[in-house]
Amino acid sequence: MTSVTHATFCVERVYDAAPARVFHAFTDKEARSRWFFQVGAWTLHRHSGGETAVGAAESSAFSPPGADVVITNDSLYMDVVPNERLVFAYQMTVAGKPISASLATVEFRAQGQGTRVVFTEQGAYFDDPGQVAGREEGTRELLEALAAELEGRVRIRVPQPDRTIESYETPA
Amino acid sequence: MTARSVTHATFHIERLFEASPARIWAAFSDPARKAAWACHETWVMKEMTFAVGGREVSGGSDPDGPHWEFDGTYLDITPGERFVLAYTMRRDGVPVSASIITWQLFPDPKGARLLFTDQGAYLDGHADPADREAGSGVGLDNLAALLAVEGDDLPKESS
Repeated sequence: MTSVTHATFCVERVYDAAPARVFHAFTDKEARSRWFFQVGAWTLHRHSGGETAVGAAESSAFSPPGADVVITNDSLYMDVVPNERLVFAYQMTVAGKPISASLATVEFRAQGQGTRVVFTEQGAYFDDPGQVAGREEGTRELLEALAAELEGRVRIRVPQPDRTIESYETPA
Repeated sequence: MTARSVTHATFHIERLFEASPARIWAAFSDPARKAAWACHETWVMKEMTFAVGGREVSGGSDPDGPHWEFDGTYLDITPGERFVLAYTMRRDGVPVSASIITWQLFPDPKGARLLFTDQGAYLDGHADPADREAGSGVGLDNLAALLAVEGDDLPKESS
């Protein structure tokens, strides 16, 4: 019998960029390949979809730095309010085994000249309850990577087997 | 411009069904059997593919009322044990909530125990978790009634 742990966590991060710019960086496929998939450090085996529309799916398979294990992420956009909100469901596997199914709500709230991103995940985590703390930490790290993306600190020049990513300009 | 808000809520419903786990699982996974308890005169199953990535779409209108649509996608299925369904509920085309439901079946001497966990994001004040919990309970009552009408298929104890 498998076990399921249900949990909710919320991670917030303030960015010194307007909501439209943060939303674009969050959803744009090229930007995501830098801050979300961290192409170069991580290995991206495949990546399809990525359109920001209700009902659109994004599917990817990747491996962490220096590891062979294949992780997959299949996401489905459920609600899209441009520059304001995204709700998506996603399912992950590690080495072919399902590890979680989650609902993520990302709110982009104007705060002064910047944006407060409020990321709420409601998840069903399979077998290992320790995953919850790890997912929250991983989400926090992703929101930090998004900050690096917005500040132009992400610069990668690594071609991938099925995606040629030669260079990205650092934003002025 | 709509004032945006999100209310996050989780609720659990637990039920004991006096039927074999296989028959209960069939009531979840077989489209005709699911429609028999999840749908009624004004609520119609339009599409159901019980597979990871498959969709379940149903909907209906009350007379002179709004049109409701349930738009679901199966995220995870472990046959006989659990499945996770993500769904959006729309009223006249406007999304009022996005949720995931985990359905878990546990063996029980009397049949099987269902643990239903709904984790939802209720959007812009258009939907209420308490109403959703009540509505989910009605659906599970319908399932219990259907299983009862069909009769007990549990192995009989030998005396």
